[in-house]
Amino acid sequence: MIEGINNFILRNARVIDPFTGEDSVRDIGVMDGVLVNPEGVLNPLEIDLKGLVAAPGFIDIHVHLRQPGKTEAETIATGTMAAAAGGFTGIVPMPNTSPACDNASTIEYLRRHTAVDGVVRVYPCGTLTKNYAGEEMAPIGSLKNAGVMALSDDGRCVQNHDLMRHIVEYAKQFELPILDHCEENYLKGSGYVHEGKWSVLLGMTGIPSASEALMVARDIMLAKLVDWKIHIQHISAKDSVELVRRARKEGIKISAEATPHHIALTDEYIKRYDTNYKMNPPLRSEEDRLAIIEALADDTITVIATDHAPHTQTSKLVEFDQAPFGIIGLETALPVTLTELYHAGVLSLPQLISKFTVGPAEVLGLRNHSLALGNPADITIFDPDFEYVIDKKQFYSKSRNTPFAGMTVKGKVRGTMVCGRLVYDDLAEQRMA
Amino acid sequence: MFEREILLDHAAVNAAIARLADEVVGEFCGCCKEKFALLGIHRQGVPLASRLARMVAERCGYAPEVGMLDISMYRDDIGMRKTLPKINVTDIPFDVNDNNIVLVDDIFSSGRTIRAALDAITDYGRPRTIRLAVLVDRHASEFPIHPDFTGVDMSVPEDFKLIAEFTPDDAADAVYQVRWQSDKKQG
Amino acid sequence: METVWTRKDLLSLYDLSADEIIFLLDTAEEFKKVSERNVKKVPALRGKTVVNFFVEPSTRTRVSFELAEQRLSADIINVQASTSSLKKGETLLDTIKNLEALQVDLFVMRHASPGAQYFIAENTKCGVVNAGDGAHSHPTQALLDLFTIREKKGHIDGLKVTILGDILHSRVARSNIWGLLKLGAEVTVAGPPTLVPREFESIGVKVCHNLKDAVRDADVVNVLRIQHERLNASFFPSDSEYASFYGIKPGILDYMKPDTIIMHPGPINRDVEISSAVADGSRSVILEQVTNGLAVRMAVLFLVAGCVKK
Repeated sequence: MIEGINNFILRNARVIDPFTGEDSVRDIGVMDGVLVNPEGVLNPLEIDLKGLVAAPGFIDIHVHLRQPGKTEAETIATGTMAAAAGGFTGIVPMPNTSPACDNASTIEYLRRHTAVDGVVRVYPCGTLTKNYAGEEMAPIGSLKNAGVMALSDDGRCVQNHDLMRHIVEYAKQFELPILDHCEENYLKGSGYVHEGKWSVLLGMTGIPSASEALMVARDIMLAKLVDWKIHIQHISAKDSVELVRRARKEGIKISAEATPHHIALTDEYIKRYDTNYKMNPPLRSEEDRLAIIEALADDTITVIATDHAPHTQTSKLVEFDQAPFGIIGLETALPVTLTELYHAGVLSLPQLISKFTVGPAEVLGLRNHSLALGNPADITIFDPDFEYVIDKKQFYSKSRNTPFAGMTVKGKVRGTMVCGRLVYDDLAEQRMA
Repeated sequence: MFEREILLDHAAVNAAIARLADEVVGEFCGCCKEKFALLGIHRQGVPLASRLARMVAERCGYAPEVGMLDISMYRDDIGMRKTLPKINVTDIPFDVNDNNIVLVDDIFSSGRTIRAALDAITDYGRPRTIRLAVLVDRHASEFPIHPDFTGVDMSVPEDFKLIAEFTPDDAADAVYQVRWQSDKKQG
Repeated sequence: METVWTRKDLLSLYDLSADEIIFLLDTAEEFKKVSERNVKKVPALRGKTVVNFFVEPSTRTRVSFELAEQRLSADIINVQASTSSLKKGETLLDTIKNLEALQVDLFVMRHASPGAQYFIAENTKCGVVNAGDGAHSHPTQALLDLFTIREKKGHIDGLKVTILGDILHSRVARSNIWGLLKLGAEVTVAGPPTLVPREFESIGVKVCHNLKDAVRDADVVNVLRIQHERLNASFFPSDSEYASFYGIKPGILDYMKPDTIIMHPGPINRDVEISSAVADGSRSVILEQVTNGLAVRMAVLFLVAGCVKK
């Protein structure tokens, strides 16, 4: 981090701004935290971004910061630094902390600590129900006043459809989007991997795709009934994707996110019994994976989010069925998706960037997030072609639970600028005299 | 592969077995005429025992019963060897109890195989006597165990291994010496 | 003569080649003879310490392993989940590391979590023998089944073997399937659709829900136990309905070839999955399976112990 320097001219950048459709090589001026005409920048530090891409700041709307409650796995400081290193200028931390973000004072705690320790922007999120127990509605109005930008019971799914309907109705008046973890509990049972060939061969208890799809269908019905935004978190099953595709064609306010791991991996990896392949929703079949990629290409899925879920080595170094669900993802999301989607020829660079920018901004209702003059200088700078091997020892996250260690990827974050401050800086060689 | 140098050719092996047969006959078929059985130790003691039984029968008309013994389960070096021994069939078609047993092996070296064989055979019963017949005694015993009947005495440098081979038709029987790989020792 | 066996662990038959499985069975033949002798003991594992680590209750398998260890002259420690420090919050890995610090050589391990033994084997220099991991694998049971089939039929290649019952929750079924497929048998899994996942077809196993069809051409029918302790949901209406649709009763024998053998890994729920008349009848090889289990476990312990390098 470079303290005190707020003025930059970023020269020769390939500026890709999916908000405006721009894809051109030009200079970017940054003064006092705002995007300005490069010619007017006073005392600038000049950086040559030749060969690098500059995009509007990436937003990850699905992150677990673990503070308060599980700071041995992650903190606001380490989690937001990991976000910066992953190219994210803003994140939405899930409210299933301990205590949960189901009340104004926990949100106040979060905001106070983010102001001190936060490296990137943190958009608070409140729960749908008290202690995300799925039984009583959370104080959604007070949460709104405390500053939440979305609502979610992530990790659990409200099973009572009538309660869920009232939550959606109530949230609508406060213009808070619902981020829903879709899972029907009876079908899930005690499952912990995808129900399919591998669960059957390995004798592991499976979670059928129908468990997710059933609740996706429920959410579509409620979004239609209430005419309000429901965003499907970490969509994993082909059936769910098809339901979302049809609903969006009908104009229902449904959106969906996919995680890098559901884009890159399948349930075949569970045969290693490595708990870094255990997450919820589980890695599913190749057919499901291909359906997700297709849905990213046709914009059924508009968001890529990581579900960054840090766990200590101690808690993951146990029997597979007893390990907690979840893997970290902030620092691998861009390289993995560049490799699997852009270099694989599925998405263009503007399309891929849109999943990290336009998609999340639409879900949250963020404005002024483009690289237009006068907007805050939130910029993600990356090299789309740099090839390297992921080394988890280099991570800023406090946890190391990743399945991507050792994977060769193409694409590397080089700089992350939040409001004119270079909070992640791998641009030393690009400094101009 | 390592150079194999032939030490005993077919004729020499045959002569050695004949000598063994003479000694065995002298012990058991002479004055006391006791019944006895041959027990070949896997692997080359097994064909040797059959050969020996035949020659004994030719000499005195008594055809001793022949069994085969695998001593893998009785070794003292499990986990210390590079590879596991393969367990071969143990087949003792006669009663061990109160019998005179002649253990038959090809090369007598350290004595460890015979030590294991003594443990093994006594788990099958309580023989009256146990004797040891070997084709070659290389005089390298590490235990207070020595053959009672010997085909040939032979002094071979420590870094050479002796290998006996018996072919089904006797035609290509031979004893070779082969230089050890440096990281191995004869068991 | 060198062996094909180089593994310090036996975790699943999925990992083994046909040659390795046959080598194990051949080795077991010789160990079977040991138990037929007057002195039923060999010094093969003298000085080795085996920990029977059972994080799930077991009587039959544990007794079989313990006797196998005794007949190999090993020293034995028995650890049960109820008495172990796992109850005090110690992780499985810490418990194993503590036992390893006592210079033990082998773990015979049963655990309710599929793959737990893989996790342990990767984290210890000791040998690990899987005595059952959840619904995943029970390799010594499959080996004793293969041994018994080979003993009775003379070969395994080309045989038709039907495994009947709760395939979904059965580690015995999964281990048998891999072993039988590798040795060239044709495998059919049969039982109610709730307990016989059709995903088994993806590895070349036939799936069948009609009892008569399932046993008609079979050379071997391996009847699995209805594991009431694992059936926490509704998979079939009642034991009596199960018995009437899928139970092996004398009448069903008429649909089988005259030389079909009937196997069961035990313990038997008499008159549920198999009637007493069949279990105790002439086609049943159930008690021979138990006898062979001892020989197979002696062979496994002997081979695995020979590959532990510390």
